[in-house]
Amino acid sequence: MNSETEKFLMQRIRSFYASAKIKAVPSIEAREFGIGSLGKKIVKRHLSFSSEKELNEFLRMEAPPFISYSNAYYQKPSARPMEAKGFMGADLVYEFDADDIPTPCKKEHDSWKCQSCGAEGKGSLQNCPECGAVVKVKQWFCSECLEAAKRETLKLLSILEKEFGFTGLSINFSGNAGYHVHVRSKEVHALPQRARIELLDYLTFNGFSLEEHGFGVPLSMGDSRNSAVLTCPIPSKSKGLTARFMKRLVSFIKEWDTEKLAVYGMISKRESLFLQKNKEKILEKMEEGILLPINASRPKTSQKFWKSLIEKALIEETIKLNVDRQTSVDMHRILRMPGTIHGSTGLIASVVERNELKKFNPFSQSVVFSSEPVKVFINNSPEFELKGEKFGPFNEQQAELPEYAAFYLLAKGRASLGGNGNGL
Amino acid sequence: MIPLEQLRFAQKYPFTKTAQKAIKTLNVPLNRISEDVRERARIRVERALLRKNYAPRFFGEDPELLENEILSFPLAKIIVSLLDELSAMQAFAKSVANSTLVFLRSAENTVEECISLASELGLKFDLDEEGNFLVPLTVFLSIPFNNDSLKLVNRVVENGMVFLSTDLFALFLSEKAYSIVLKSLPVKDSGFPSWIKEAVRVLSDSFKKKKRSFFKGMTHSVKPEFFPPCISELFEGISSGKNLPHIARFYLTTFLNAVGMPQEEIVKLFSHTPNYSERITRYQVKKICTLKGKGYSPPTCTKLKASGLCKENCNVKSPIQFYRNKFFGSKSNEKKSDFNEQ
Ligand code: SF4
Ligand SMILES: [Zn+2]
Ligand SMILES: [Zn+2]
Repeated sequence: MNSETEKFLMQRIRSFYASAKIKAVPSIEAREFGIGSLGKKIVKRHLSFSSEKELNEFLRMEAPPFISYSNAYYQKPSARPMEAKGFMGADLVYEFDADDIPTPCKKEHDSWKCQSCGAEGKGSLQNCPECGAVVKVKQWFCSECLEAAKRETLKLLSILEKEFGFTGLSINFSGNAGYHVHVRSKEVHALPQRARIELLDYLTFNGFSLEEHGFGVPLSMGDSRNSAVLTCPIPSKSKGLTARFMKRLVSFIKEWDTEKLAVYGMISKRESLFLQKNKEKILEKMEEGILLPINASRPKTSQKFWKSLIEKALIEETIKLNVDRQTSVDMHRILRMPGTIHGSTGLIASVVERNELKKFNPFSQSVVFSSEPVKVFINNSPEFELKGEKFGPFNEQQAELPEYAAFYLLAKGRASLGGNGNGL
Repeated sequence: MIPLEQLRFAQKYPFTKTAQKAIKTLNVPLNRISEDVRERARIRVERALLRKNYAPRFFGEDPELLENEILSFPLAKIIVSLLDELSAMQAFAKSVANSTLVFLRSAENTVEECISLASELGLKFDLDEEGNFLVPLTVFLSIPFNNDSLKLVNRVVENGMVFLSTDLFALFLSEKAYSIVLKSLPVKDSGFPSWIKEAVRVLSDSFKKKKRSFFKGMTHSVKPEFFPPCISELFEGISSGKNLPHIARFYLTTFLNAVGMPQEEIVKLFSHTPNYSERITRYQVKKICTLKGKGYSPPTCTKLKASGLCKENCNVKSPIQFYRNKFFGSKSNEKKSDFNEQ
């Protein structure tokens, strides 16, 4: 990033904080804060503020491109090392990052380059298909990506509310690629790390066992390996997580897609068609707690089929949450302070009300900068939309963009100020 | 005189307040403990260390037998504490948990037995019409458990309540017993009589002979969430295919081996790295993990600091210690013995 670009970005951030009033997080006096610079999200930690006023004064003075706060509560949040802070408990935090969700649009807007052999291509992958080395990926997050992260967030919220019975949920856009959910009710503060892992395992189906959920061989049948008939939880009587995947199983059988089944289910087309004809009967029997065999003379195939159908097709593909593992178990993390700027997009990490999340659009509602025209040189950028207006795609060209769009590309390192591209 | 019912309860569940009250009432100072109680305490510990069941049942009406049994528990705790081994304390807690489960499940009316124990322990719970015990989620999670049947992902959770069958609720109570007992150890040494120390010496010799390395044989899966910063960085690096220097790979391998990751999994981990050769990796991993039967010792913090791999000052001597503390919840300070100190 050249100095002119940097100066521009810093000025804009400063002007934002000059008039903005950032709402404090609950118990602000017990939180640790950290700030970052344009290139690095955290350069300084162990800061603390006694009040909302003090925080806002600090933001006006320093105008940091990033500010994060701890999910933990401390007696002395600015003390160091960590042990001296006096840990008092921590919120539960879940983070959904478009990063972790494989969306089809990644093929359009992401690209990779291998630094060992020079191969490159579109899409997002980890290892070079030519030489196997780890590649460098240029990421982009479009509204489709963020919608995917939002869908996961909504799924999570419903589980947190209906199953875990948590209250005190607060949701915010991360300012870049996803959403954060903070569970701040008192009862979770004391949960040890182990408990947080249990919750996470529940959300991600880690350690899940079909047998524990009531799938198995009827006790009266004798040798288990030779039973083609299996027991299953009764869909209409199931509760909690069992109910969730039984519901999926029922609708899957109703829709019965022979093609899909061949991929997941490891059965022949003939068997699948046979089952398709009998699906009413299968559903009926399920209500009696019985899972019919797909092939009565081959019990093992049958057992394997149901197992793989439920575990792969239903749980892996649709029920399991793609929540960021590290965030949700770490009790000493600092994360984006809601309501503040994300320095690599210029978008606000907006707090979103629960009932407004569905229609929330970060690319218009989290934009804060003005529409003043700014001339920039753009290296490259996919098409994007901000405040309802479409921009790009751009490639090695000059353009005049409204300030918010200019900031967006400049902060992402896709463009620079200073007339033509020579300054790069 | 303590009512027989209470004596019975105290004998079965020696970690409860009822048992502590009984001990107070019996008021036998440590130096006047009978030979019978000593012997019972020794057997208790021995069975625990051998991982054998200890759940004696008393059918008669002889309160003295019950009393001796009750008194042997705090004495056994002292003996275990003097062994000064975390694994001994864990084995002891485990044996109490096992006997709790046996007593609960074999009770005449398991539901009622569970209700009285849970109430005595001050646990919040509810019962539904179908006979399930409903435990508030945060209460359920406050107890560290090792049993996969109790894993949250395998239970029904609704409206903040975890649904448990009577059988599982009994299991849950036994895990609670485990954590209560483990938390009460070690008992502070307030000048114990020499006969205790002698008993300890004998047990300790046979225990040491039997003891295998710390994590071997444990049926847990490795928990990367508990790795210290230095190991986490290496672990994540390797998983994402970074090319780490030789010494870093070496330390990581010794660490993973020591916390019980199977060799095959370690080999797989390296498969993301550039220039991976399965044959060579397998050979090297095997060499590192099997030296003298248990593999190279994992590094100390001093060594990691010297190679510039230390990330933060964690206040431990080695990454293994860090992991162990996280895994078992750090060991709290010593507790007072249950005997009246006179
Ligand atoms: S102090 Fe020890 S455990 Fe912690 S990061 Fe440094 S070397 Fe690792
Ligand atoms: Zn390559
Ligand atoms: Zn996208």
